[in-house]
Amino acid sequence: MKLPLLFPATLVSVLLFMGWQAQAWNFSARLFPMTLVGVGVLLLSFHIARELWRSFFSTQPQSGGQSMDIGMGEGEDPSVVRWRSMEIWAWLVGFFIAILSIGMLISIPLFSFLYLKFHAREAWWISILIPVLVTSFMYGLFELILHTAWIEGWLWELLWTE
Amino acid sequence: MSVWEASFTGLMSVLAWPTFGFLLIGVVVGLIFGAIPGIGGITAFIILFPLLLNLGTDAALSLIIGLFAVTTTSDTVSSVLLGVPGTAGSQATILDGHAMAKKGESARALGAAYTASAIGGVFGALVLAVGLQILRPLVLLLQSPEFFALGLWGITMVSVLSGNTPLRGISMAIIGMMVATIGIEMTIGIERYTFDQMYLLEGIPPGLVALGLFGIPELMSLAIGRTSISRTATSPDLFRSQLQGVKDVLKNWTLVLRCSALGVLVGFIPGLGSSVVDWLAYGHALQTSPNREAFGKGDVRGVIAPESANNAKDGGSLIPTIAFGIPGSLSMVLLLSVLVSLGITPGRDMMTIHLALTFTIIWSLVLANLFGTGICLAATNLLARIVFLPYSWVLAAIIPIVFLAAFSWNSNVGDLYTLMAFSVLGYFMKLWEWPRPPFILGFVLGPLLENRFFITLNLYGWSWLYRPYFLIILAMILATLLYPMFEERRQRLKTARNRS
Repeated sequence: MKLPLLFPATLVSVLLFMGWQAQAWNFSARLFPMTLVGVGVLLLSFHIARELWRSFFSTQPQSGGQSMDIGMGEGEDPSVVRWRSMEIWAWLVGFFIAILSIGMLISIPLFSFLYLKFHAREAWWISILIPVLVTSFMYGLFELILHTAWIEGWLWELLWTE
Repeated sequence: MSVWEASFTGLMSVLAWPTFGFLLIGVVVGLIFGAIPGIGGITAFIILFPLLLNLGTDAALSLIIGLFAVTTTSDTVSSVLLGVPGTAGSQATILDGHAMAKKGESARALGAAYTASAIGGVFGALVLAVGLQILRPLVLLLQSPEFFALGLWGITMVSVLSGNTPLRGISMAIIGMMVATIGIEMTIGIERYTFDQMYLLEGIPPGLVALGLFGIPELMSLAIGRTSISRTATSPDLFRSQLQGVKDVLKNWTLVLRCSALGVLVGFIPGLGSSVVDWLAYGHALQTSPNREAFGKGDVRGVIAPESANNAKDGGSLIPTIAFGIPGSLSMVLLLSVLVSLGITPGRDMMTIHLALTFTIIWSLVLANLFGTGICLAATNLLARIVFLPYSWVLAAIIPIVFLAAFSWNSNVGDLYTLMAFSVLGYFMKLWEWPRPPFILGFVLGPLLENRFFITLNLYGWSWLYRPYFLIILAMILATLLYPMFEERRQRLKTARNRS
């Protein structure tokens, strides 16, 4: 199966799962989801079948069509897009895990600093200035004004409990 | 007291000190909170609420109107410059506004957005002034079948927002509606797709979905491109560019008025709100414009339409709030709570003994929109330079803000998981060209359609299908669907005639 077809195939699987879950509910609760599942599975299956038919039998070049949205990595080499996507995903997932494990107050300046210094290879002064400014702004707004309860991180909770 | 006397008294009340000062404070706070992604006017209101109760009636109302009126003006900043929606009302602005920023036209986009916002806001206030008496019977005529039909009308915009990939667009709208079913079902209280997670009981907040679908993927796009947001290296004359944006609005004045009217209508109907109005206006602009190919690639009309509509909406939503005490959105619920806390009962009194106070609200809305736009226009030269900063500076600063803004939604770790989940979805949708706007529209309108359908069915059986107002709205839906086809055919015939 071609990689872009994995997306509609996954959506069909998710819809089928949701439809299966809805079986247990009473009529009024399941009517709307079941109708959507029916129509959604039908449309997506038709899309998959059409794309497969095109890739095997049609000699005309395939076109994804022009959707009303901004594209990703337009004008870039697909292999570059793939590599850079993986890189930024790694940063995002790393930041997410850092927030959960060591808390927000440490993760925010740490992420900003590491991204600027080791990914973008910026000068020391900018790699320190931006994290300090961002953290001060966010601490001032979210902690002092909005009183948001920051995530402290399971690592500290574990250590303090010990 | 005559209407003119009340209007003059209302204006004088707003201009009197310290009321005028509180209006300005409201405007400045609203602009700041609107510009920061994921926060918005509600949070600002919660912070200021204790202060509001200690002020006089005029000052408190000026402050709160100033606050809510301009959040949809400044939310454009992050939508245009970063591709991250400032509030729910600026999602559609991203499509063309951010594309313009990438072309180095950020000042033009912002200039157009602010001017359209000001005109829309003032238009909304005028309709509020005129419409309070006239529109009163209309609200009473609309019942659940008509609200259901209006929801259907909203969903027809999916066909427009899908571009020339209708199959993908409709599929995404369906997925959006399915995601919206997560949480407690409203008619009988059954848990749907919650998997015993407390976090999912109340469903997923639309703002968080927008932040994940648009915010993170646009920032990733910046990381992949490794250039500044603007692909043009040199900074153009920003003032001239901004002026061009203002001229664009004046050139497209009919679009501004049409979208403002649409904004008032959507605001007037309880339950639709900000998340819908910008997409409807965008869809309308797309549907009625002769050359649609430029939309989504940095067409200024794609900025003008949603921005005029989302500011005009406030005037519309104030009509049922003031005239009947029916708040159509959370911000109007909060306004109502202020009115009640100050000892004012909305309804008939607001058009008789408190008429001057009603005009204080209307003038506050007009002045807040004008001041908000003035401040934003003055700041554009500085703000528009963000698009020329190195990508790494922007990402190092904005990614943490997006994560924290997402977390502040419910102050629950689940918010971060939700953000990541929708970021993954948004990334693949963007990568493989599955349109995101229909998803958001489906997500917002899905619950409304389902609830209204069941209420309608329980109250009217199937007789609602013959209600005259329902049929009128149905005719409007058909006209919306058929007009582009008719227009396309007319253009084709015109071209053929010119050739021959």
